[in-house]
Amino acid sequence: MTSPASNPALELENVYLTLPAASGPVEILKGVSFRAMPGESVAVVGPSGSGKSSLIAVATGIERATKGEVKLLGDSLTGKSEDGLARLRRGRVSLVFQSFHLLGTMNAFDNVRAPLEIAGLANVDQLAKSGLEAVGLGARMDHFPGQLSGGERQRVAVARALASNPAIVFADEPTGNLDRASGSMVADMLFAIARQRNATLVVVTHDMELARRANRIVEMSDGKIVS
Amino acid sequence: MSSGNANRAWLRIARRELAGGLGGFWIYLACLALGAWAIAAAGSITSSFSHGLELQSRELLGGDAHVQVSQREATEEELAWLKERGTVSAAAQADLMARKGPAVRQIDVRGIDSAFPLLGRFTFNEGAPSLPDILAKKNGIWGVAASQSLLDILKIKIGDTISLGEFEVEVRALLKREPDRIGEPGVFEPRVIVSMDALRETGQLSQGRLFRTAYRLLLKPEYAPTFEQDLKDKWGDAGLRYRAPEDAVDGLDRLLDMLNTFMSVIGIAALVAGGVGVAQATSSFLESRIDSIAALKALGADAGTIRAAYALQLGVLAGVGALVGIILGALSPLLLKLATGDLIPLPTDISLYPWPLFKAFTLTMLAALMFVATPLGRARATPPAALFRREGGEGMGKSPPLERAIAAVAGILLVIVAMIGTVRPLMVLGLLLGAGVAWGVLVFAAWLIKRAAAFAAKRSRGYLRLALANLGGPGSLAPVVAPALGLGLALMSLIAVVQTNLLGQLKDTAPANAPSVIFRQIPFEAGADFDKLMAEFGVKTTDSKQYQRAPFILGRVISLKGEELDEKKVPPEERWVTRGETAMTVLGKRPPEVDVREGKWWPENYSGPLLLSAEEGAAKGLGLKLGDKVGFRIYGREVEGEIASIRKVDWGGFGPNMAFILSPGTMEAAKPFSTAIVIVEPAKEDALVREVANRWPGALAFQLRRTLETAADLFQQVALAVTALASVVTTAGVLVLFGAFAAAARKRRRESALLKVFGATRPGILLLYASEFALAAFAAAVLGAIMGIAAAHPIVIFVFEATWRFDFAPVLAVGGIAVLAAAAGGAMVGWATLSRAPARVLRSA
Repeated sequence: MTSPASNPALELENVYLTLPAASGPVEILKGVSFRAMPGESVAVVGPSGSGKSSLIAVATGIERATKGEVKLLGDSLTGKSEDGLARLRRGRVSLVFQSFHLLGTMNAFDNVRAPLEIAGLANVDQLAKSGLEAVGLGARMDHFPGQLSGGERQRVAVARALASNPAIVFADEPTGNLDRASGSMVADMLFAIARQRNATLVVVTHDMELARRANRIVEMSDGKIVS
Repeated sequence: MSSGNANRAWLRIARRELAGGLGGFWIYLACLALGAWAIAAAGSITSSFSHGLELQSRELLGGDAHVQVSQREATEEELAWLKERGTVSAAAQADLMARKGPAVRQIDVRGIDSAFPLLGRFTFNEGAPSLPDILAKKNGIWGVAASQSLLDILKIKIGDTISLGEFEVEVRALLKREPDRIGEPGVFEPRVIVSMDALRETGQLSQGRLFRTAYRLLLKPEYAPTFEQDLKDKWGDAGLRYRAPEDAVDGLDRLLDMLNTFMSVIGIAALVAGGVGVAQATSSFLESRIDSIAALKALGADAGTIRAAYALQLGVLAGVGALVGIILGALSPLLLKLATGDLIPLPTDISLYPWPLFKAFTLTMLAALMFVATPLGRARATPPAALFRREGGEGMGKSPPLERAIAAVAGILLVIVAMIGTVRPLMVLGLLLGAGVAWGVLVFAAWLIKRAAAFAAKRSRGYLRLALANLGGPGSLAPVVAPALGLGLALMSLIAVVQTNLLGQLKDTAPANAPSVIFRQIPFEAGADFDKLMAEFGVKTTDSKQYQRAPFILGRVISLKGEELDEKKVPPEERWVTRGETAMTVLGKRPPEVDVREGKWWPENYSGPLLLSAEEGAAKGLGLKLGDKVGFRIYGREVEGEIASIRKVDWGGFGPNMAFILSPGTMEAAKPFSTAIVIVEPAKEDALVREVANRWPGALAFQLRRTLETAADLFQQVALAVTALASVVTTAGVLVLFGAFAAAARKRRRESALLKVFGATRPGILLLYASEFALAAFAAAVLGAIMGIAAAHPIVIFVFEATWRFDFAPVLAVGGIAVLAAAAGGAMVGWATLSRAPARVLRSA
């Protein structure tokens, strides 16, 4: 495994994704090629159904490409087992979802702490605490998701994504479920912390204002990158 | 929305949702069907037996009336009086020693006259001669029909000759069935049927011998209505005891009532344990509909419409579950008959019994209402905004007071309905209250477990921390699994502990302390020779802990405190003292093991008016205190004695375990037979019994140690059956556990996908869920074991009056199986969550 600074953090080469559906197989990605360099922030924009979220799924290995090559942090995902992919993500690859996806049975602290624990990192309590403090939720660590507002939940999700100092962070419509003020605050935090920790940031969004914060904007349409 | 529209709206919503299928409702249906089945089956099966017994009660009694005398035959005058009133048949019951070569065994001998049986008939082996031919005296030898058990014990076959006490008989048939076997109390195996003339001829029915004679009558119609009263008026003082056809099934009816009560309570306990599953399924269902509910409310549907729409659906489904249960319950008598064949020797009347079915249906619907009302209230009361704010865990708020009141009223009605129609309403109430208290404790304990898990999570690491956090957080398994599984496991532990204690008592304590052999009918004059023989076999005849011999007297209690005995006033559990002849002895010196609790033992050489030492339970049951008078009829003579002391008897131990011990000086003149209780080395036991049988053929030897071992085996079988019945509650708990597995598999799919995103491997996720479920089951098992042991202790000490002993093995086995099963189920939950790619799970969540 090699990932010198000059090598891409993420590299997709002619990637296809076909998923089964009731009406027959649907081709979601149609030969996508894409790169993101270490420390770079890239916004992927495009209309609904253009394949933006699927691009993230394939890039992180939580969905297997039907065809093509995906390299994440220098490792090819092709042929890796599900557990192998999971181990690759540990502590180095993070995701922020539009619908937060916090663990409802755990409080904010444990939500941030769980991935750190799985990654086998040291000082997980301290990392989780600083992660929550970084998003301004130091006082709400014992709150469960049901006791937090939408903006607060997404801030917990951002803290969870960044607490392990990952090499690459994927954010799928991170402000899509939030009002303008909350969305803006979450976006500020996401970009600031990613930049501060020199993490690659791939953001999928409809929101051009959010997209413009990135170093580069990639546009998708009908399963292809068009610009 | 107008009220008319609203009415149509809830109906329309309910219809549409019901048309959507029963997905996720199988646990709901199964829990209710299981409880309904247990209650309906208990009622239907016991009704089929009760009706069967009722229909055959005359045959079971052997006639329209049954008159019994003990230790004698009816006098000519008595017999003439009976014969005037109908056709009479006589049968005598005695114990004798059966011998063939080295094999000796005390057996039950039934002597019958030529008219027996008046109703029904015997069944013998195929090709057996007719009954008169079997029993006739041929070439100077009487014939008998013997039970298979006797053939096995003596290793004989049909055609062989055996000794029966002091005479020889030829076995001419295998006795398979007696018409009145079930209705006759104290009928045991091994046994033979012999002619009554044979018993008479050989002196077995002479005074002082242990036997009883029963006369069965087919009454002439004109005498039937007043026969009982006429008998009492004419022969009330002569010791003639009357039994009617309904009495033939009296004991069995009580047993069936007990069985019905037990099974009904088991069924209700299953409904309560399964109720968690019902509540959980309801909550899951309503949470899955929460967006629809929120949308409907946002669009103007009022809380009443929401409640009515979902109450109707849940009510219809509860009705379906209850219906399935009662259909199975109604079929249960037939299924039991098909499954057991002739193994259960009770007559059945397989029919449809509406009352138990109606009761089971009502109880099930009330249980459903009790558990559905609260989550329904939570759903209808939750504001639309709050519905949209949920994220995992608990989406709905608290239930309003109205629904909580409905649940409480349903619970009270459930108890009232359960009590209606039972012969022991207070016992049902007590058992249900006990179950209710256990339930409350378990619910509280579940809350404690949740708090403890949350606390422990903060101090743990790795997957254990995740498992504990899940157990301590919202949507925790603890409030579901701990009460449901805990109740079932408590019951199983209770039975296992009681069983272990009693089996231990029967297998170890009693055989170690109790006599090995009880010899009876030792001739009065043989006393010294008998003692000598015992000494020759190594019995320390001077040690009262190994050997005791004393006169044995049978007498009937006829008066208490100077008033004629009214048996109806005696509690059923103490009627063994008054039902027939009770065994008594005469002792001068107090044996060391006699534990006098009240009063004083008489001096060793006492010779004054008759004094009595009464057993504690019998004294309490008969309402006797020190100084009270008790009257007996002994060998036709009436005597009265005064209670001088009250003893505690260790029924499993060595010593005079009798209701009454008499002071010396009154009964010796009658030259009663002696009884000896002996502890002898097991290796010498059979030889000793053989030698006694050779020297005193009329003496009886009851090998208690062997009987206790047999009783332990029998008890083990009974305990197995009770465990099987009680396992209904555990099944309900397991159903709830399965429901929890299924619900968890649905809920945890997203969690599992997220953990994979974070880098968790599949073995890690399986381990997480296995440990989470195992922890919940472990907590339930510990609680269940504690409650089971706590409930078993007073039962062992006070009900069975046994010595408490604790064996971890059965409790560990019950708990261990539960934990392992839960861990396996948890791993299956994990496996189920791993079936889809994380991206697809998260996209659809």
